[in-house]
Amino acid sequence: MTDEEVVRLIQNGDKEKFGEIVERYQEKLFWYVKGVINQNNEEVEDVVQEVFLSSYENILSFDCNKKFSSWIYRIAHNKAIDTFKKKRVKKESIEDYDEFFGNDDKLLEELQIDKEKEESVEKAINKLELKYKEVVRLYYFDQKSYDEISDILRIPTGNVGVLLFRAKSILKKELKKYG
Amino acid sequence: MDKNIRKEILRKIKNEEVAMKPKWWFVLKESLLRGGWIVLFLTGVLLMSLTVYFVKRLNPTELWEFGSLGAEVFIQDFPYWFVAGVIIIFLSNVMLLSKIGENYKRNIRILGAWVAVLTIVLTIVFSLISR
Repeated sequence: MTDEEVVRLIQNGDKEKFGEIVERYQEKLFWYVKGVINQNNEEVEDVVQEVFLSSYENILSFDCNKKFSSWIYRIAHNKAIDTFKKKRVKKESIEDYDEFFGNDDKLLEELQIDKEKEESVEKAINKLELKYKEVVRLYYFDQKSYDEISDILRIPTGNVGVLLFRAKSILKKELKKYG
Repeated sequence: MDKNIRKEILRKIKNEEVAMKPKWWFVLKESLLRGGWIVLFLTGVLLMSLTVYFVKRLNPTELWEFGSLGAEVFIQDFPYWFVAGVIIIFLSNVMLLSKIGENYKRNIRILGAWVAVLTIVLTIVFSLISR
């Protein structure tokens, strides 16, 4: 069953089905929010919980002909930005690198970086401005298309490419410092 | 992720600590946004028409004949507040338009150009009608 079909059931009154949405997205949203706000796990979990509660409240506004993942990521983006503004990012890096990077090596390949230098890449990503960090996170780690990123961040599709290009240039420069 | 938040969320839903907002609430919100944009747009057209009217009333071609004195009168009596109003309304208009529907996908400059052209065209149409 697709996300949109599950949501249609919820909209028609099957509230229990929301648990399925939580299960499908809690892990993905956890790493997305963590990548943006860079806080400890408990705080990230609180934000993710707020994301689900807010999506449940607003579920009747979702148009089932559109992509649900973009819709819920948009809510996560808003909540993460609110938290980011309130708390300001700590300058420490994220633990659990393997989990953070998942199995995706596309960024490492494009930056021509060895797998062993993954930690340096993560540090460099954390130093990026929020707008770049989010695009990198969504494109490389959450495997979102330009169109989906455009829907999540509410920016023109063309700007997604520009932001990614600039982010990669900054990352390359930054990584040269690490050697 | 350490804790499973599924249970916690379903508990809140069951206990009705959290509830779905009704469909009409979203329809109303969207209608207010679109209606607000139309009102703002028409206000922009009205302000633009008033600016044109006051500039015409100054009669710049006649003032030109009086040289620096005419220029001084023109500078003193120019409807600056109306021009400022047109600019503020125009910018708010573009910002609001970019928040409606899927307009965020469009380039903000193109949206701006679209609003500007529409405002100018309607101002010309209204001035022709009111003659």
